[in-house]
Amino acid sequence: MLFSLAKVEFKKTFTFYILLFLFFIFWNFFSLLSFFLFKNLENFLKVYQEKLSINIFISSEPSNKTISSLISEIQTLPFVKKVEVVPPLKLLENWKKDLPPEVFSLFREEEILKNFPYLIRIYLSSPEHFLYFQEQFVLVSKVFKDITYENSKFNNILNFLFFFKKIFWGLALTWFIFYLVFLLLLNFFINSLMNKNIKIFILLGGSFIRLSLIRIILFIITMGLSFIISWFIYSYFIENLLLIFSFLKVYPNIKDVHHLLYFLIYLFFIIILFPTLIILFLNFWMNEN
Amino acid sequence: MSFIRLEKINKIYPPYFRALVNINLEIEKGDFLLITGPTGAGKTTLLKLIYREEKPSHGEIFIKNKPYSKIKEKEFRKLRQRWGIIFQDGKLFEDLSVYENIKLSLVLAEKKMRDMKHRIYEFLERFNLLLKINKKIKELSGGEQQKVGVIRAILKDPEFLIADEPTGNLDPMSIYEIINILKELHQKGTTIVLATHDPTILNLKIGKLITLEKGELIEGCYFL
Ligand SMILES: Nc1ncnc2c1ncn2[C@@H]1O[C@H](COP(=O)(O)OP(=O)(O)OP(=O)(O)O)[C@@H](O)[C@H]1O
Ligand SMILES: [Mg+2]
Repeated sequence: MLFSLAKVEFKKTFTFYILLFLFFIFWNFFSLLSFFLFKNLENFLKVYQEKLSINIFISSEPSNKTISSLISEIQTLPFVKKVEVVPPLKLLENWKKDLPPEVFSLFREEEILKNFPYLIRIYLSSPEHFLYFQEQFVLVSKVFKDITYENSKFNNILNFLFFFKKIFWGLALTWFIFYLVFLLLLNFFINSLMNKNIKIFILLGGSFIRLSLIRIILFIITMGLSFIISWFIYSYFIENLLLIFSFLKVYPNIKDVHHLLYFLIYLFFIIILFPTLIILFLNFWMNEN
Repeated sequence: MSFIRLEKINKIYPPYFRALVNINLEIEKGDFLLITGPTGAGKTTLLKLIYREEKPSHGEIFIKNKPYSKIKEKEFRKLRQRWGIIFQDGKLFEDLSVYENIKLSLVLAEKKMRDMKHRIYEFLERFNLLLKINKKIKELSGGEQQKVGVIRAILKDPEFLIADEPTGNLDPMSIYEIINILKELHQKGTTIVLATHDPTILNLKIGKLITLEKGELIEGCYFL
């Protein structure tokens, strides 16, 4: 029976449903696209982070014992993934091609070596732990003299990551609020257009839940169709993008069970749960008080 | 214990129009209460307060000693499902057919449609509307719409019937039909509150009559 009322509502507020249809194509497409860009950028940064190390130079000629005790101290610190020692000889080899040849004509190799520091490379499990590591490291390194410590890269990447995530979450939240406000306004307008029918329905003893059911079904169907269209547009877009930038990865990759699961949860929230809650809330608020 | 009791009811429509002034009224179970009075006296307003489309500005309404202000919307919905209300302005779904309008009200009243179908046909026949069963409400004449409103309320077999000008637009034959039905319901024990100026109904001399004038209650007289 509710079906006939739903039909009337759909006919009378057809333009609003078209609006919802178009809005959701647009909204969903850009949601997926920004998620895709975010994940790819994150991947890119991850690869970069793997190669990133904190470099410690010990310039005075230390005994092997001090070095190895320092290393074992560092290794006990949390979040340290790997420690690498580069003795002066090796460091020199690595840098030979970068040093101007005059250096070698002026100095003997032993002399150069004497001025070459020990290099200790520390790899962290994640750059986010850098600040914590630094705090701990200060305590450890107090025991050693002549330690130089290079961390500008880390500070930069940390600042960037922090900024990047903040911006992304800020934008995502705004985008989501935009969606909520749009649905809320749309329902509000449909309600005022259907005001007369809603009043009769309530006076005949109909509940706001039953009333909402009509709208919820219409919304889910409209947004479902809209989603299918926007998914096709998105897939097509990404496919073509990958032809040009083949190093990018597909997100969400629905062939991956994990991705599929998260994606279905996203759909459940966006197409079913939030519209349902909004409609129930608005109808409760307008008719039950 | 009275079925419905109004205590010192005042209704002020914004900004400051007093539609009802200090109304005290008791409706007993099985009563047939007629409310009459000139246009604009506040009859519809009084009924709206009883089925709670409007709320009183002052005073309290009780149903079986329970104040309306303590009744949640959810609970009141159950009452409305069991009550039959004939609205002065119809309150029909204009874009639905006659049949759909009646069916929807019965479904909301949780009646089984299997048993109701032939009764719908019977009543439509009785009011000469059977041919219009699938017509939309907006395609009917004013009087025909009025009749659908009456049929919708009566078919619910309500325990309480609130009728606002049920014969307003109708021809004598239909008025006669409605009066017969009201009598039947009254005999079955249905509580009825009816607002009207219709002399045919007022001359029936059944039930209790009260008169409203400029929102004030003029003490009524008993017929019976
Ligand atoms: N929603 C409203 N807002 C403001 N004033 C209203 C409203 N509804 C009714 N009134 C006023 O209250 C008074 C009583 O109206 P009501 O509809 O109760 O009269 P009535 O006795 O049913 O008249 P009628 O016999 O014409 O049906 C009228 O003067 C009307 O203008
Ligand atoms: Mg009236």
